[in-house]
Amino acid sequence: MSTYRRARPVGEVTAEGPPFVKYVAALPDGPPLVLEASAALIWECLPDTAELITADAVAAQVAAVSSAEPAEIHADVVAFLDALVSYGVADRRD
Amino acid sequence: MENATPIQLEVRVVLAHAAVQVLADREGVALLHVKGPAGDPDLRAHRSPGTDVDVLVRPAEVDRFVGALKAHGWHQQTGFTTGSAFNHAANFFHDHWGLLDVHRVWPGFEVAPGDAFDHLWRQHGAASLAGMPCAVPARAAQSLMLLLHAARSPGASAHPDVRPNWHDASPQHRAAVRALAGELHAEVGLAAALGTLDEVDGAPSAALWRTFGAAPSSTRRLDEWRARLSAAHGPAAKLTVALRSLGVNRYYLEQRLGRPPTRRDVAAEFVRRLEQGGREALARARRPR
Repeated sequence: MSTYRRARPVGEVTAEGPPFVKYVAALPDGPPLVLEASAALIWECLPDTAELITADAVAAQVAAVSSAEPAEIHADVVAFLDALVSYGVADRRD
Repeated sequence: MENATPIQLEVRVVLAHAAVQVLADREGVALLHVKGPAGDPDLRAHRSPGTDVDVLVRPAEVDRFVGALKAHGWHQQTGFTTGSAFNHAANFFHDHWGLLDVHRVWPGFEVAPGDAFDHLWRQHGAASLAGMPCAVPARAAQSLMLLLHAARSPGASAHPDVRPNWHDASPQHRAAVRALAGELHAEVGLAAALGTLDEVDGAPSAALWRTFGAAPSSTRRLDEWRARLSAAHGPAAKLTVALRSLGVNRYYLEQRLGRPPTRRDVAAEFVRRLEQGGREALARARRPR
């Protein structure tokens, strides 16, 4: 099972909202990404320490605040986490 | 996800500061983030965080830093010797991060550039920009640098940065700024910012600062170049300045044309500047004394 965490170094700016928006970027090259709503929520679930988190745990945390079922959003969460990896702002360990 | 929502300029600038800091850390380059979001909010006339990133780099490490920038997508727009009378900064542009001004000298510090940087570095503070720890000048140094920057504007003493950094500052803060100006031999630039150049009229650089504060006129450009020659240290520097006075700044020409200049454009601009210089010299010769 894949696990995830934030990559380093990553720049992060939180908009003074609402709406709740995170801007993140792999440094020093970017690109800057705009994370809105559930995307920002998933980002918040990622640890920025040495520990990693599973996609199951992320889906569960997102479901807990969005009244969705973890199984319903699991595939989208995994796809999004992998997109974060492809942009260099998250690490995945398989 | 990318570009789904436009990134606000102020966010982009903050991220750019962080991106530049990461490059500096990797290269072991010491730099100070100045102005914009790196500055103390109490010292900024505007809440706007600015439109570009300004950094002052340890002079001996500038070449290494510029090499790192170019290797990471920063395109140089102007060189250090094409931007201003002080040969102080080069401009870069990055597709993601926007504009960056790399300063190797802060105009107004008349001690050796390396000594000025080391002085500021010994007293520097820290700011967190996009989560990255960034070195910033101490508070008095921030004020002095903003005042010296204001001094290069027409009507300098009315520049919006002068009030928060001098007139509205506490007596203790003003004393700290003035003391630092003494240590960095920046008294003339500070006087220019405060509208008190008459008090330092004998200083070699006073005429140059006076040209920045003057209202634009048909002879101002010639006055500026004469003052540059007067302020340049040594025959070689004076000759370089004299030669450059006829050169064409490609970046500013491109801004005016709205496209990259061709060789013909540059040649035409060179001739235009020669003619303009000639007209200014003629006007000066005809001016009643």
